[in-house]
Amino acid sequence: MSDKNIKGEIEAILFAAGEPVDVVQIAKFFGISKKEMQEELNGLREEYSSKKSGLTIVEKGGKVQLSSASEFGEVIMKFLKKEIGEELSPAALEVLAVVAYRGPLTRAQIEYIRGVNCSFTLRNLAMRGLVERKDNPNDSRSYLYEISFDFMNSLGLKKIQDLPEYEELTNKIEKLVDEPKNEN
Amino acid sequence: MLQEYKIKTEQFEGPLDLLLELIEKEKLDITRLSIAKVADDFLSFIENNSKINLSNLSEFLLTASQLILLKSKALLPLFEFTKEEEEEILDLEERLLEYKKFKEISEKIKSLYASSEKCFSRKEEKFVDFKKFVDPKLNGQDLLRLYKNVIVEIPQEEQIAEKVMERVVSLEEKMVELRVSLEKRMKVAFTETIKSASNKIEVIVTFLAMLEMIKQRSVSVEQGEIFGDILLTARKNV
Repeated sequence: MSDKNIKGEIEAILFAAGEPVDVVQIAKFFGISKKEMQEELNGLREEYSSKKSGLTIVEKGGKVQLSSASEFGEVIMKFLKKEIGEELSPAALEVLAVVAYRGPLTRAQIEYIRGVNCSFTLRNLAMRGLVERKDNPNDSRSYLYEISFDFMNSLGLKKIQDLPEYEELTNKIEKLVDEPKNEN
Repeated sequence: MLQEYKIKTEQFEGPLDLLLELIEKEKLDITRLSIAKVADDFLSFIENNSKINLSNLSEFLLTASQLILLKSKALLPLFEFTKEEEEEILDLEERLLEYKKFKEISEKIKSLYASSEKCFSRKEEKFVDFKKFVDPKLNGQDLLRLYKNVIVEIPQEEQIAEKVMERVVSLEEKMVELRVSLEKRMKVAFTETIKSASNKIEVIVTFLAMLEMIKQRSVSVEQGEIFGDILLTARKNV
């Protein structure tokens, strides 16, 4: 096992896949534990940062994706002649913040925190590809909203914990949102 | 008191947003007392504002009722909240605190979003699925062998003898020639016109020139018998 270059193999898989790949799926494939898998990923990350590589690994919701490193965002935008996305409204930013720090969560839970109907804003964010909607395993009538890989890329985040004041904001809210009042 | 605030209607996303704004204008912390203090402003805002989004109106009214409750408590010291009311007010305080945090953090998200420090990832499905086309066990040696098999089967190009083509008289030239001889004489026999021909091609061209002139109706022809000589006559009326 020690001879095998799993790290390189994982890197190759992530490159070839292009899309986000399930960490557990890769771990299973190599017959390693989730913890060992995380170590390999950390190894890759260290490698990238130590040799100032143009690559980085973005992780979200148990999936990883190979991306260009955020410090090269500017050069890529220049090369591809891309512009920074259209400015987001205060409402959109608030919903994004709630979804980012507290997601995945239902629309009712978002509305409980913001005290206002969010369906229009959510739809708009989903159309922009910044939030994703998935089925709610606990309630088939509602959906869960979470942040997308595009959101991570747009903000240059490697993992969701890189968000400012992540710990502080998530802890406090857990307590509150556990019992949303007006779930409809 | 309300006049001091320059409140822009659309700015307020909802009751929490408005409440927060009112408290912060007063430079107060979020406490039960400060909420009660801005209750009047909150109520007059709703009263004077017909532009509140209908879908949010119920939220505004619910919060308004909680504020009235709080205010009653402030005015009537003996008034006691029920357990349910107590929880509701506590809830409002906490939600306000939470909302404030999200409102603040959303500013940071805004600047992150506007920053050029972005990651880019490859788009899905751009990677070609090679196994659709090629046996994955195929290697370079196989390809070399296959290539050799193929080139053996390509037919060799046949060598065609090269010959310099001689220039032959053109159709137009021959027509002019025929016309000139028809100007000199009434009738010209085809056999005469080809007497000077140096080769078979020139004979053919002469014949074609004749056919062309017939078509153009500048000559008429007569032939006594099959394979007999052809007599050409100029048609004057054209």
